[in-house]
Amino acid sequence: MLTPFLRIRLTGGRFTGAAVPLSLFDDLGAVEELIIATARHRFLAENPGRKRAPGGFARDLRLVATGIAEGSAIVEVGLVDTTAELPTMPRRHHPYYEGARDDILRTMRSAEKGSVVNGGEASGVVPPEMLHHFDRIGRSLAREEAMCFDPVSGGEVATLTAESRKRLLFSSSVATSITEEMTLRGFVPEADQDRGSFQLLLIDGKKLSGPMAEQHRETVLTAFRGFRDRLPVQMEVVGTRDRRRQIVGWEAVRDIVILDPLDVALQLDDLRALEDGWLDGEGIAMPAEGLDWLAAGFEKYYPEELPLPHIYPTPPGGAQLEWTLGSHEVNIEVDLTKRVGEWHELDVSSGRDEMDSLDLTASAGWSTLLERIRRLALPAS
Amino acid sequence: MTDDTLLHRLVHRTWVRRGKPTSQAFKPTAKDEGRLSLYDGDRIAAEGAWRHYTEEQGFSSVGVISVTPAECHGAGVRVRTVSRIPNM
Repeated sequence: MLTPFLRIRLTGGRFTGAAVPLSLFDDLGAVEELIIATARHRFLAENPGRKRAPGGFARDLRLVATGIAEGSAIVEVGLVDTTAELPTMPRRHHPYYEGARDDILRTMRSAEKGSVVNGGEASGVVPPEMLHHFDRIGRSLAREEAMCFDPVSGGEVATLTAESRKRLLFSSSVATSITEEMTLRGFVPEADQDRGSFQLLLIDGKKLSGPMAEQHRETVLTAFRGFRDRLPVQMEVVGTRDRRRQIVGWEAVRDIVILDPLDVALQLDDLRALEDGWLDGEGIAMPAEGLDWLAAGFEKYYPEELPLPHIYPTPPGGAQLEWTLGSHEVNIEVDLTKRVGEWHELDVSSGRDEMDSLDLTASAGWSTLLERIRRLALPAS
Repeated sequence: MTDDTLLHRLVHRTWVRRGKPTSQAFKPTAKDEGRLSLYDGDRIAAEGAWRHYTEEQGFSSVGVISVTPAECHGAGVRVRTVSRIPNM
């Protein structure tokens, strides 16, 4: 017998157009595990004479995705009771599952508001020792994405975001670290084929280590051999943070690629560490949001076939992008706050130069930039 | 100082990326007071200039790039000598 149980609405970013990434089914599996664990906890709290939940407690009921609807994407979840073929049969464990769902959503709502309610026996929230289940729920959520849990029964909706998930995990009494999907860039100074692990040297000098899967071995070894030439890599990982929120390593690598040594995001990573006074007392730190914006702009607009710029900090806290294209020296001084680039092109063979401003808040400014670089870099095309 | 004298400019570490220095190395900063300061190669070699800049003045630099007065004149830039280093 199938009963509507939960509606999970996915909003923002990847979820537009009723699209559910396949990787999210791992999260849904973890939601089921948390519901079963919380239901079992409720059962024991409400039946103090019992030492364990009855046999079949987790086996007889199953959570299933019954459909995906639009808006932005909605996963309908039903509860299947394999022991109740007829609606008239008793629903033995249903109340514990429904109570567990409500406890979980209540706990999530408290995390949304800023602090996680400290659970106790049958206090209507998830006990702290079980909050580590959230490590596998929502770890790929980007800043603009959310999972909204609607209990179907008419209760209040609870929203899980990357930030509220962190609050839940850091309230756990057993979790010493949390995992989340992240991108790491750096170099490979060490690879141990015997142990199946390798190190990543981040641009700020910090070293992380983690497992090396067989399918990534060749790429890792190529980066290791290129270490002295500073051959960079980019990895999409399930990364681990400690309770101080510092990245300490990774659990799994989803993808690893060799980067161009002038990769824009990598160069900008290097500039993030600059503090006020970086130029012998002069020099303003570069705004993190501006660096994110510039990296995203290059990722969105800049085609692979064009040469990448060398990027340097400027004393007022901007970024200077420089290309040497034949006899032309091009530099663009980017104001990372106003998002305007001052274009300067010098033909060293003739001494002729050109200057103007590019508004990089709009795609038209980026198009102009690309056309000019293309004209100088690929003159025959 | 002749047209071929090497004039040494000290370059900050953030202004060299994969061996390529930025043109900003030749833009005056606040401590240049509007006029680009260089060491006169007739009076001090590149290494000595670097040592003076980093060890005696306490500034940071990964190296030295030199230009000549002839190159400066070619770009329409005037060069003049103002000694600021004691005992030189």
